[in-house]
Amino acid sequence: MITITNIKKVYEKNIFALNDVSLNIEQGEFVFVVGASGSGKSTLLKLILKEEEITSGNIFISGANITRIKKRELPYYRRKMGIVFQDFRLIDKMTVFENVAFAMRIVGANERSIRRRVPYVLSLVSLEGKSNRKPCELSGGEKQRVGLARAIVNNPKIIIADEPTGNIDPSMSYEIVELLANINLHGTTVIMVTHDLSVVEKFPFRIIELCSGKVRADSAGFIDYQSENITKVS
Amino acid sequence: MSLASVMVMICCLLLTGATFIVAENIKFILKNIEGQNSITVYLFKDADLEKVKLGINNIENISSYDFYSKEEAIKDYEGMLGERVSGFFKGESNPLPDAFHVSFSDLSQYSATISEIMKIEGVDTTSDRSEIAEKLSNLKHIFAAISFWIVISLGAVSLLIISNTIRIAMHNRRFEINILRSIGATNNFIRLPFAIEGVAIGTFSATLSFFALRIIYSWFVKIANNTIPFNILPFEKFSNQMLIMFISMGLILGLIGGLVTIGKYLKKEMSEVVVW
Ligand SMILES: Nc1ncnc2c1ncn2[C@@H]1O[C@H](COP(=O)(O)OP(=O)(O)O)[C@@H](O)[C@H]1O
Ligand SMILES: [Mg+2]
Repeated sequence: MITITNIKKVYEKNIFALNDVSLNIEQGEFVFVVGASGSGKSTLLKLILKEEEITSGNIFISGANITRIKKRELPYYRRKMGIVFQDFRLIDKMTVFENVAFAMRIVGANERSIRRRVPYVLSLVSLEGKSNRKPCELSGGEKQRVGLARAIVNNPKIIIADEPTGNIDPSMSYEIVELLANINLHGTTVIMVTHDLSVVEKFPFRIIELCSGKVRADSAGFIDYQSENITKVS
Repeated sequence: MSLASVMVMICCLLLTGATFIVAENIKFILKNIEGQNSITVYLFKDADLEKVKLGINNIENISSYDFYSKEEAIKDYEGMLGERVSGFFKGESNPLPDAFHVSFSDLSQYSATISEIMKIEGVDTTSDRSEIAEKLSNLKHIFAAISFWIVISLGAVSLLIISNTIRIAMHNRRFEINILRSIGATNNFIRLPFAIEGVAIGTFSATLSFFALRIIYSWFVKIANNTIPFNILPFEKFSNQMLIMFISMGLILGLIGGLVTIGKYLKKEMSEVVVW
């Protein structure tokens, strides 16, 4: 699904945020990306999202080289992905419902399907009772669940989450990752950056460790994540 | 919506409208003057009426004439001066001269005929309006040049202010714009509310300006009709044109101001979208 070949990202003359990284992520896989601060985790996600230009190397998604995507095609490319942010990025003056609905408005969905889909997605993250609340009335964990709902509402093929548990109560972190794992169960590829190792070790997913812009360790091949997934849920 | 941009826009539109109205009125007055085939011939105090009549009769280009006594003249002024004042000037103390209203048959011989009239003994002067016409037409040209530049520069100021208003609006909503972009909103989707804001400023200002101008102008017409010896066009004569002109100017300025700013903003300040 995502094939990364020898990518380098140089920000300024000497900052090698990523230095010769190659990875292959299968469709339906759940991947944790871990590593110290400054190791290049966010940069990797930004390159996949085309928020930043690759300095050299290529990224293929479903066989298509993303460096070929034109500027005006970018919005349509991003719609294939659901993004979850560390700081939630909810719009304060909108209700929970509106925050999720406007992701559907962006892609031109009609009001009828919005009214049908948003409550369903909110129920997936157990927020059906709070759809008229404003983000400021919610706890960190609840805010991130709204963020998750927004990320999945348009049925993305890939979910990209950069430290989604970074700003919430550690006791709530597990719940968020579990929700992501549930989404993953339906076939959505999930790439989650985190440095919360206590959460990582509770899940049987692939772990990629970055260090100074290089892949230091990759658990791929050691764990049969697909079957682990199934046992975990049952 | 910023008050400043609405105010500046209204100033721009009002001046544009005033310019238009003055130009239309000058055109109207000129046409009146040029189309006038009668003049007034004023006599000296001691002129011999019969001799002057004879002289006028002898000029071929004069189709008709009638006597306009100073008593009649003072009566006509009564409306303007009030009875008490005009009463003061009645009889011996009447300062006005006797006169004839004279009509021409061929307007193309206007100046030749005027000079013939001036040769008649007892004729003091004529109400020769061609001079006024010439002055007015000069004025029209100067006025057109000045107003052109006023309108252009005020338009530019309006654009600047609108663009600034929208830039501030975008800056205030940059967080939302960021989110929108990162989850796949097209530029058009992001643009729409700001373009609408620009258009709203434009049309709102246009409507306000239209009604303001209508009030100011009808008030002015009332005064003018009592003081200026020319007829002035009523506002209804150009209210449709004015409304169309205002709304389209408002729309265009608002839309251009909006879209240019948004385009610039999206390109420059939004180039790095997500800050993690
Ligand atoms: N926009 C940028 N300009 C310059 N340097 C940057 C930029 N973003 C990140 N970096 C640098 O690139 C390196 C990797 O950053 P990042 O990918 O954010 O790491 P992580 O997310 O793992 O903490 C760091 O040294 C950081 O300082
Ligand atoms: Mg980071």
